[in-house]
Amino acid sequence: MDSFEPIREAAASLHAMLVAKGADPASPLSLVESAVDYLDLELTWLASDNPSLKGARALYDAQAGAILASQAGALQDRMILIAHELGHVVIHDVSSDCSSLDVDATRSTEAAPVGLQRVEDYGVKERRELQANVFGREFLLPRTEARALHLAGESASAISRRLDLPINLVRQQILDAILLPTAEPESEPAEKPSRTVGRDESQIRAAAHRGSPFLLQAGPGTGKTRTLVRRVLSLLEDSVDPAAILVLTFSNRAAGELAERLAEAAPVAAPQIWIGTFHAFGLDLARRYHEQLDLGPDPALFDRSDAIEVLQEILPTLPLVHYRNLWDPEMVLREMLSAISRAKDELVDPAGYEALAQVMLSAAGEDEDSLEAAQKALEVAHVYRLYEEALARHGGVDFGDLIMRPTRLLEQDAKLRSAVRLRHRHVLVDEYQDINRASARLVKAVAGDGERLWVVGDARQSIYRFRGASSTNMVEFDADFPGAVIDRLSINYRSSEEVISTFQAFAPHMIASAGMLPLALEADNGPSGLHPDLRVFQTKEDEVDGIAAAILSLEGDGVRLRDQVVLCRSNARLNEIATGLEARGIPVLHLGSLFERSEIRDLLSLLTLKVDPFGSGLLRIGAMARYAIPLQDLWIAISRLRGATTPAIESLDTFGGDTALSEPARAGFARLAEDLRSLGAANTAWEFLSRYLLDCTDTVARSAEETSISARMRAVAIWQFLNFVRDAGPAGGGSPIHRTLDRVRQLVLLAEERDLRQIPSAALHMNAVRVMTVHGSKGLEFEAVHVPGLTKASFPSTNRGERCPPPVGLVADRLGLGPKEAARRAHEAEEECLFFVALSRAERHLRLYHCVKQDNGSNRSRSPFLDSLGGVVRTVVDPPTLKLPAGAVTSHQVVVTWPQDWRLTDARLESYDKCPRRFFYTHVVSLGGRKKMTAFSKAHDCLYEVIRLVSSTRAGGAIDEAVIRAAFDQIWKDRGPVDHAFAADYRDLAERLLTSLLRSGDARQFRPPEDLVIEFAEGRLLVEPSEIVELPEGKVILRRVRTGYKRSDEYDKLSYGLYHLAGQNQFGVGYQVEALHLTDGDTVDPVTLTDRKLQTRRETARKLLDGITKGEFAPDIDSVTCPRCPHFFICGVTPAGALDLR
Amino acid sequence: MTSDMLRHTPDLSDVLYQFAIDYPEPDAAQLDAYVRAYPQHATALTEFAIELAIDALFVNEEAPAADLSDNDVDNAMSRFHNRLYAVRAPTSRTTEPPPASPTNPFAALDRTAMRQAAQQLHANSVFIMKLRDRQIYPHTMSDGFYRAAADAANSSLDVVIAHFAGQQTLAAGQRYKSDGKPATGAMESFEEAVRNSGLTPEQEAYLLSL
Repeated sequence: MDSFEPIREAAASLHAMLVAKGADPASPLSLVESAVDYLDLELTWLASDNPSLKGARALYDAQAGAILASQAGALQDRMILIAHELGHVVIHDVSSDCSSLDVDATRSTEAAPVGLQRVEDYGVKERRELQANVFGREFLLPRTEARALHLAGESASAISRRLDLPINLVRQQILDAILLPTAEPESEPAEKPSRTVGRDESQIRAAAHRGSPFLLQAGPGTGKTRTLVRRVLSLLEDSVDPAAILVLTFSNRAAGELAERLAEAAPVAAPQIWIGTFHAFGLDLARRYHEQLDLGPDPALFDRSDAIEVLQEILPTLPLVHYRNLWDPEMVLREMLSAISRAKDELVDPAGYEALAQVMLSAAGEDEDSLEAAQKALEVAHVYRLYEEALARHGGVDFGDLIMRPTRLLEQDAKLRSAVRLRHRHVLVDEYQDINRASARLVKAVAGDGERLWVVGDARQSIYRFRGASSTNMVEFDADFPGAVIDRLSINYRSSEEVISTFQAFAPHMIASAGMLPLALEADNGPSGLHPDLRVFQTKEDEVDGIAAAILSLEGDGVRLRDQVVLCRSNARLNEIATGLEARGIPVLHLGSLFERSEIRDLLSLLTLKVDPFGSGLLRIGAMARYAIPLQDLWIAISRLRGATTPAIESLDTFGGDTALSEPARAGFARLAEDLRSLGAANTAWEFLSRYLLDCTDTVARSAEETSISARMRAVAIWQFLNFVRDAGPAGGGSPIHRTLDRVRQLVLLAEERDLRQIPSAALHMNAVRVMTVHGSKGLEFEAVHVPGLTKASFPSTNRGERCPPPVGLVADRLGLGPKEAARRAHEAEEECLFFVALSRAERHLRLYHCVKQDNGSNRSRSPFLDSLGGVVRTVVDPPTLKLPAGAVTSHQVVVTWPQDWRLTDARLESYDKCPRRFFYTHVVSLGGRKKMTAFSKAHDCLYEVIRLVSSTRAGGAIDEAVIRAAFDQIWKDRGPVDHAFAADYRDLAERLLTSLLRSGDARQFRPPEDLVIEFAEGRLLVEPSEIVELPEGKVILRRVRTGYKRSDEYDKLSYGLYHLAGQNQFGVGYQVEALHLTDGDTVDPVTLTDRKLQTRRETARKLLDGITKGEFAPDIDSVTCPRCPHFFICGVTPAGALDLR
Repeated sequence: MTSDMLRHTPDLSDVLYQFAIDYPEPDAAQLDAYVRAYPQHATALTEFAIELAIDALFVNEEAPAADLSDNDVDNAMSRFHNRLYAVRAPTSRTTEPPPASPTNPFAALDRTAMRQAAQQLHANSVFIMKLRDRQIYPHTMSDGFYRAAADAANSSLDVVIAHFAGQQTLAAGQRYKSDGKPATGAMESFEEAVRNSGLTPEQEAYLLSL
């Protein structure tokens, strides 16, 4: 159960009881006064500077049974303050003092895990404040109450006015009440009965250890957290000052869990113990010693997208040669940022980085590859330096700095080190295998010789290599802390003997086992008689059939769906399997990529109406059941908005009475206009959406009617999204809504939205199969675990290498393998650990799966990991399957009537080939789709305009270069990136390309451009060559001009095939095709294709044409292309009806 | 580690003094041992130990210990006394040695007893909390009030006087992050304390008449 549930129950029952005794539920004052009376408390209002308040806004004194509160502020706020303190009284009953930061009745139970929220404090004190906040709002407005009022038709604003409660409190309560699933009343035993846990000698020994550094190797399910708690309690029993205990964890989740367990076991001491993540501790140190670190008292934290912005700002000053990419500067910045962050993980500053790169350069000699590697490293070093300077100008720190800077400070400053060591005398570290080198050095700086250092971890579960984590820290523990004692836990409380034998059979084959004590676990549960099994299928689709059948069969045997999990190596496969299971009628607890979910895109599309004058969002909004506007009408409406200059939300009224639109469309538009009428003034995404959902429409109320798991997941997704827009404080220019939309794209592009896929804990009890990546399953356990995809190249995944590899010597390389080989080995080690983690999540049932064929029919080999399991796992002969029911596939088909003059050109066909959906939006519906104009896209547009000008001019005969250059000058002034700091660079580049273009025409005769027609059975295609060069004897060259570099597979592109097909058609043998890539200089390449290739291109073209004719517009989803697509927010659904473009 | 005298007189300033004598350059283990013996002074001891350690480093940095000049020693001693002074509560009104037993007569009361004490004093819990937390300058309290407070706390006059002369303590549940020094309330004069406790005019008048 969600740990907040008992708190809410306590608050709600206190509320109900007081109301039964006569308190007025509509009056916060009456409720609060009755509670004070009932709980026999003394409430005293004091001036805010009264010394009794000790600087707090309110405090509860448990001894006196008194609440002291500041009398400043409105009655509403003061009631919230007291309700918060009542929380401390009822839940904690220990004294507390609360600042205004602590009291926030609207704070969500879960921080949106993106950006800065990741460093959120998870100490006992913070946890208690959050609990008191949840108590306070539940006491003033219980969720059952909020739900009933809202379902009876009262809007959030109306409730807020009537009950005199803050609007955001009312909103949060309604959202929690309706969108999150209701808690089930069942009570589960917190801990399973165990035969041995009380007298687990290995745990007792570990907790009692004193006098030397201690490393505890804790295999899966051995009670690591329990032992850590035991250790803390043992220190407290020893009269150790709780304020001297520092507990460092790797994840917020672990910190939260520890804080909760300690608060339970030692309620008075626990708040004084420092519990939190390494980053939170680093931030605390950075605040404590901000002067020495040359920072402000509360330094700004830069997350990855902020850091990218910093780099973009200084882009013109970056000395890029190898990493220079004007076409797509951001992509390179991402890679460089990872390299910088990697350097910080190793405590290497710009000077250190440069020194390493210089050494590489000196050692490179004449070897070209080594020279290039060294130069690249030098380039990163320069960027690193400039980035640090820019961060300093902003007074900011990034995540890496939170560890690196305090660590270096402590290492250099004996006084501060001494102070920190005296303050934090007992250091405990959880998940030691996941810490990086910088964190290990921080531990060393704080713990000194380690006499009172106690760490626990499992090298075999080290799965955060991409964050610089290295289980070498485990291996090197006794080198870092001489005299260390290394011990291990020996009883597994999670799994059956059979499951334990499986992962124990794998352990000796793991790279991570080197230097560890051997794994020899005793099964507390004993044998189950159930053997882990392996199920082999033909295709990936069959594999999903097999997983579905296995899940249902286990359910039939009494294993609830919620106790089963499917663990995938990759997010992509995870989505396929989740979709596949749902299509087979199996409920799945899976959010997937939040911003790509249908109900979230509906909301995002609504938001776009506030910023987009062309109203593209309408194309999705019209498909919402509430509006049901036919596609045809949307097309008409959107065409009316072309050229609009104010946000589309302001034009909606006009459509309600537009007689060119159908009756249902007018009704739909009128309703939309009415829904959004009051939202013109809503400036933030949170304000806009919460009002839309809770005041203007009954969307949330209606979602309460649906009870299926997938409907509940939709509700949970909306809750999660609102939680995100509430917390997201995006930096940057533009209106807040614009920034939120930009941030969404940025998060998807940087893959920073992954944590938003986590299911909020209040929803975890739903009876649906959990589907998650192995990474996400760390620390969890399930009765049944399904591990699919055990093929070579899937699990273990292929090592892709790094675009910005670290310089030699940056990462400790004990075996002297060199960076490439060391990285490969680290990748292998991590893949093994992932497999080990996956196997060891299972309590009783473990099912492994793989298929033997790829999508294209070629064979797939099984994962080498399976060979290490020996005979422990039994192969199931002819495993059962559950086939997909007919008609379960979503259709993206639209019946389109094309106008006579509609031109299907080669460029459009190519666009369809890349993504049929984008083609539909851009070329069929002609959405204005304002792509975000970057400096590059502006320069690009100018160039294409001048290319067209040059082509048409020289086709008309002689060309006057001066005239062209003057024309280009004008084009550039009008539309080029003239204000960009990079302007000169872009201009230089454009000039260079223009010169190449002009040179390429020297001594050549050009024909006026003409369309070359190819008639296929499926339809007519027009090929528009960039230029047609005339050769003697009536022959021609069809020339394709591109601005970019030539890619290695350039001539495999469809376009060149189409040029050839058109040439053959029009000129028989009297033609050639050539390509001009301006960035590569003025050289032109003749392009020839084999007959076979040409035949393939012809077939491809016919297939594409056929798709267009049939109106098949399915999206081609890609994690890099999609977030940059102008139609990202609206993509996916199609409004009803046919589309007549005539 | 500690002298016999200290066992009988565990007042903060004595504890700190003895600590400085025992461990002029304290380490974590030594501090732990002291905190174990005097858990009520844990925070003050920690702060003091940090000051001592930093001062020791200053001295070691500035001159090798072997040839300290008198001047250096004087400077170091002066710094030490400054630190000690800074950690100590504002000075008490007498120059007499600290009382022998700074037991807090208010800390032991349960909720009912605390309220009874408040009632007896014509005050409220807020005011009793100020007495408990030594937030009132002792020299501003009248003898009549001392007597009344002793009666209310069901304690002897000596105990109450000794308590008020002691160091401010920290309430449990204080925040230990960021600056590492949880805030104690500011000190008030007796009259200010009476006026600032949310008392009724009658209660205020009574207390000020004592």
